[in-house]
Amino acid sequence: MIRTTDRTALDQWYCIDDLDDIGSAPRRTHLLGQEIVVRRDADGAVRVNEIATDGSVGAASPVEKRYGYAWTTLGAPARDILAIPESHEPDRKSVKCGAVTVHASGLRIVENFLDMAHFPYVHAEILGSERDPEVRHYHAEIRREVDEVWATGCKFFQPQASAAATGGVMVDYAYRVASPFVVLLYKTCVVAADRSDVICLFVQPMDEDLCRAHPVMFLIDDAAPQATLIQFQQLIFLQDRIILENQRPRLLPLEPRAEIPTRADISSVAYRRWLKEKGLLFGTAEGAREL
Amino acid sequence: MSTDRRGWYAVSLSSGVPPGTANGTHLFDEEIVVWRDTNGAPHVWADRCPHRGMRLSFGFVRSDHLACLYHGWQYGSDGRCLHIPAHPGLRPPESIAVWRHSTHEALGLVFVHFGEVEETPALPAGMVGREFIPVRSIHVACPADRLADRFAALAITSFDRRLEGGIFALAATQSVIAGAVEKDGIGETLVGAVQPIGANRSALHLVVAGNGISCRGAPQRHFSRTIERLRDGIESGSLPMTGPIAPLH
Repeated sequence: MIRTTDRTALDQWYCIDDLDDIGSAPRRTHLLGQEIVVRRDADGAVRVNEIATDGSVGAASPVEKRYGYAWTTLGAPARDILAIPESHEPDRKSVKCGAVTVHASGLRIVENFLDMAHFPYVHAEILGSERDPEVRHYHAEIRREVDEVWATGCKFFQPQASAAATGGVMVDYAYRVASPFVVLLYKTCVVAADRSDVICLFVQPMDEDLCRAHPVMFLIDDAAPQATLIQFQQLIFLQDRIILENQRPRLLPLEPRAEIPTRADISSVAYRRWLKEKGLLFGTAEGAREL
Repeated sequence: MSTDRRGWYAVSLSSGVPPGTANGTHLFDEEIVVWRDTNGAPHVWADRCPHRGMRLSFGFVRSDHLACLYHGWQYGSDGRCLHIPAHPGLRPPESIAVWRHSTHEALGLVFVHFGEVEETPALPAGMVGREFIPVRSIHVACPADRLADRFAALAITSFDRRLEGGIFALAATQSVIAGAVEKDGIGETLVGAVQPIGANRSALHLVVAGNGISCRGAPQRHFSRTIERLRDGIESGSLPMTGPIAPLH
C-alpha cells in the first residue's frame, strides 16, 4: 500500500479502533495507505504511530477518544470530530458492533448506508420486503452552514426494523453524512415514538479499495440484551458486504454519467456532488485514473 | 489457437446454466454473466448493473428477466431495464440497458462473441442429431493457446486413434477442438472448447457428441479424469510444453 497524497482525505479525523480492544500489545492497521500501529503505553494513554517504509516505528499521530473509539489523523483537519449530542443522553445504550473489513472503497460503504432501495433485496424480510419496495419521496441537501449532507423525510416499510421490533412498521429515517467517511442515521425508535435511535458508521479507509467499518449504535432499548443487538447489526453488515465486494468498479465513480441513478438515489447524488466539490480523490474511480 | 477478442468462444457447458440461473465468468478479463431464462434461452451480458455497478451474476431470474440482487432492477432479454421496484409506477427510460453480447448455443455449449454480430459460429460438421453429453469444465492456470495446443496433443494420444476432424477452426479463432474417438468399438466425437479467461488462466469445456447411452457413465468419467491429469500436468510443468504428449490413461 502507498500512503495517499490526497490532501482532502489526509485532513480528516478517522476512527481506527475500539478503545476496549487496545492493550499494551501493538495493533497494526492501515489508514489511507499508511501503515500505523496502535497501542496503550504504561500509563494507559493510547498512542498511534506511523510505520516507516523500513518497518521502524515512525512519527506519532494525534489521538482523540470519542464514542468508545480511538480517532487519529495523518493531516491537519480544519474541523473537530463530529458531535453526536444523542450519545450523551443518560438513558441511551451505546452498542459497539465490532469492526467489519470490506474489500471495497469506503465511499461505496457510506453510499450503501444511505440507500433504502436495497432493503427489500439485500435485507429481505428484515429491513424491507418485496411486498412494499417503494422509496417514497424524501429530501436531500448539502447543508452549507455545517458542511454536511442530509436526507430527511425518509419513510420505508420494514418487516423487522430492529432487534426490538415485533412486526412490520413504516419507519421514519433521517441520514447525516458528517464527513466523507462518517455517516449516521436517525431512525424511528420502536419503544419511544418521539425519539430516534442513532446508528453510526465510522469508516476507516485502509486503502483505496479496502476498509474497516466500525458500526456503533446509541439506542433507547432497555429490553434487548447487548448480544442480540450486536448480532442483528452484524447480520445486516454481512449481508451488505456481499454487495459491496461485488460492485464494479470497486472505487466510487463521481462522474455523473458513470452510473445511472433514479429518484431513490437523490441522497447518493448529493453525496457524490459534495465529495466532488471537496476535491476528494481517495477511494474514487477518478482518483485511481490520476495515479 | 489465435486469441482474437473478436471471435466466438464457449463460456459454459449448456448443462452448467439450467433455466432460471445465472453464473459469472470472465472472457479476456472482462466480467460476464451467463444466464438462462425460464423459456430456455441463454443470454451473455456484461456482468454489471448500470445503476450501481453490482455484478448481475449475483442476481435472480424471473421468467425472461434478470433482476439485480442489489435493488431488484429487472432487465428483459433485450437488455433494457423494465422495472425499478423502488418506483413501481415509473416507466424506466429506454437509456437504461445492460451491455449485451451475441450468444449462440450449440454442441452442448454456450458461445459468446463480444458486442453484437450478425454471423453465428462455424461449427464442426456431422453434429446434426447428435446427443451432446457434458463431461466437465476445468480451469487451468495457463494461456488459452497453450491449453488448446496441449488438449489437441493429448486428444491424439489419449482419447483415440483417429482425430477425424483434426483441430477444428472456429471462425476467427480456433477455440473448438473436435475429434473422433473410439473406445471398445464404439465411436463418438469429443469436443473440447477453450475459453480465454485472462492472460494466464483459461477453461476447457468438454462434451461428447455421442450416439445414445454408450458414452454416459464410465466414458464420461474416463474423459473427466484424463483432462484433470492434463490440467495437473500443465500446472505442475510435468507435461512437455510442445510436441506430443504420452497417453495419460
